[in-house]
Amino acid sequence: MSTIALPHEAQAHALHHDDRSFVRKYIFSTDHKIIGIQFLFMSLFFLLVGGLLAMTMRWQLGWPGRPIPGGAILGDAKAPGGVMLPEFYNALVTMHGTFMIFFAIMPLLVGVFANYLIPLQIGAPDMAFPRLNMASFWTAVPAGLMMLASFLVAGGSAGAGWTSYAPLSAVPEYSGVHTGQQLWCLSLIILGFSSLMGAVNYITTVINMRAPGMTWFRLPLPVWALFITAILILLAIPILTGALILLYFDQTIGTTFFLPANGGQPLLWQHMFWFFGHPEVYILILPAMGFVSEILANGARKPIFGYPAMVGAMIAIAFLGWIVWGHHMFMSGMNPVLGGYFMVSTLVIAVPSAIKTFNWLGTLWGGSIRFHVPMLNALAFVSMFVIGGLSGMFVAATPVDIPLHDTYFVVAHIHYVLFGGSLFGIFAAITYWFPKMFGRMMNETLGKIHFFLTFIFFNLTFFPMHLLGIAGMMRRLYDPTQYPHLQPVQPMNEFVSVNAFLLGATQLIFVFNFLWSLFKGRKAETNPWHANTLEWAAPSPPPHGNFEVTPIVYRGPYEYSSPDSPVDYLPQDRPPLERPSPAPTLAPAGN
Amino acid sequence: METAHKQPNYYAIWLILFVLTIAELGVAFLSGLHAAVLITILLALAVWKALLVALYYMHLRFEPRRMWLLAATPIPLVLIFLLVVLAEGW
Repeated sequence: MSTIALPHEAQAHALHHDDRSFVRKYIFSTDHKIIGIQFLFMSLFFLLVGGLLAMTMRWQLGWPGRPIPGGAILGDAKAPGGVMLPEFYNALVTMHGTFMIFFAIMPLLVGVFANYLIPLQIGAPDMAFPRLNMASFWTAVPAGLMMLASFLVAGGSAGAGWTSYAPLSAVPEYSGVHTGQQLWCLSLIILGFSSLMGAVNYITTVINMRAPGMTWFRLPLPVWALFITAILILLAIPILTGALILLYFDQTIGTTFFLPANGGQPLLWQHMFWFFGHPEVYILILPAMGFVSEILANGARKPIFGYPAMVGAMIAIAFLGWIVWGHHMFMSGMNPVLGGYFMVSTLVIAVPSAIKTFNWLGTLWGGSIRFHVPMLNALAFVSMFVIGGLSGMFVAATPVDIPLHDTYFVVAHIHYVLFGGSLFGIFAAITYWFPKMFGRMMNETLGKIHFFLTFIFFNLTFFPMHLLGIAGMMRRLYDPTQYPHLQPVQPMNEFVSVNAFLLGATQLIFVFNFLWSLFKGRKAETNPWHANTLEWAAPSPPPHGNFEVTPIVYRGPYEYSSPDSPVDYLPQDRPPLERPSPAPTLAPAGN
Repeated sequence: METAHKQPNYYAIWLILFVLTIAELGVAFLSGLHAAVLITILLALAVWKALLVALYYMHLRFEPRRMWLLAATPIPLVLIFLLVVLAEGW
């Protein structure tokens, strides 16, 4: 039985007597909604930073050795005469991956939406531990600043890749980076504490603070996805933190955990990193699956197809995520018997993934589809996730992975999953819940222009990378033209770079739409999407404490086009209609 | 879950943890033991310290059985990880 943290009177008091100072309300806030919005601004900032780094890399790959326009500001240590040095390119690759994965996609999916949505969708006034929630955000900020500051230290920022393989990352002389590599470790250790504080909070809140009637199988799918993700975070992050501490010791106090000297094992880092890293991949996609499920049902005006199977598939993906990490290491010299095991276990993940895809299509089938901006982005998620999933099947098979390992095929695969999947899911979620967060609608026309251009330029940027990979182009490559076998595909690199710049420029439309709509967008009604979940029963934006009275839940979240409702949606908290009871009949004689 | 129990002596536990850490350092740097013996001793001391933290500082000793089960959840993951790493022939 779920419980409620605040009794009705106390909750109503919190709603009507919000006399907190500006600092307590907007800076050091304990309100889950403000913390979610704080995470939103922080992670969008780092998304832009990561994008700018990618643009700079694409200049070098498109036109190697040509001065970057305006590149003189980078200084002689990074780009003498505006031409970037290989060391700086390494830093760009490393920091692009690091910012995008740890400071943009992960906080966008979890920090923003777990904070914002969980209490609202389960009918709670706030998180279980509001102060811990605040601490979680204010721990993430210095971690991000530390990572940013590493660009300014002598030797530059970390340059051993976002996977930071030892011994390259453990010995400063190998990479030429000293302090930057240490700051990378420290920043991620601090960020790990932030993630753990958040995860404990999300799990406790979902278990303990559901409104009356909100049974497990009436939970909206975003809550299920975020709950499962939080469990993954709780179990996976400590492994990374432990590995990072060992790496930091190798860098600073002379231990040799990952160095062959004195018996250390470089492969131990790879095992520890990917034992965290593969669950991390699902941390980066499961929440988006939850958001998209919600939006597809809403846009199709149909119940989600196979709700229990959707939940079961997410649980299965989360479980399987723990036993497949070795597929990142087929070329590491790992025992071939293990390679066979990891290949099979990885291919098994296709089953729950296919269940989800089938159910999304089943949800759309025969629906009265509304192609609003969130729906368009959700549909893009499904199609791009299928492409990213299929290329994942390629590289999961050892015979195929051997030639494709560490090529641009893998870069294409990860971007189809993380940009085509996660980021389209994030665009869908931001445009869908923006009215609830800020009380205003985002501009629909600008949203559609942004979507179509992003969809086109995304595919023109990343699909050719499959071909570059098959042509043998290695990832983390400073200058493709120095290899004769890559010179014929250099025009394709230029093509990719041009489209990457157009893709980057298209995001300015989103930034403009976001900022403009904050102040000038049309005022949002309480339930602009005619949705069923509880957050749409609260005002837009919801006040401190969320609900005037604790909602009571009568049904599941996807009762669209129900015959029990005069309109095509039936909110979870709407009491059942009184039906005229059938006329009493006499039982036939003899029965 | 709030249960009535005698307050553990946190300072005494801190002192035990401190002594165990000194013992670890002493064994590691001064004993001159064979590596395999040294690692076994250090692992045993580490498990001892982890148990003290879990039982007292994290109150597991005073929690109901289901909380023990929850805390034990990651153990299969540790076993999977060890199995694979050891299968590498280390």
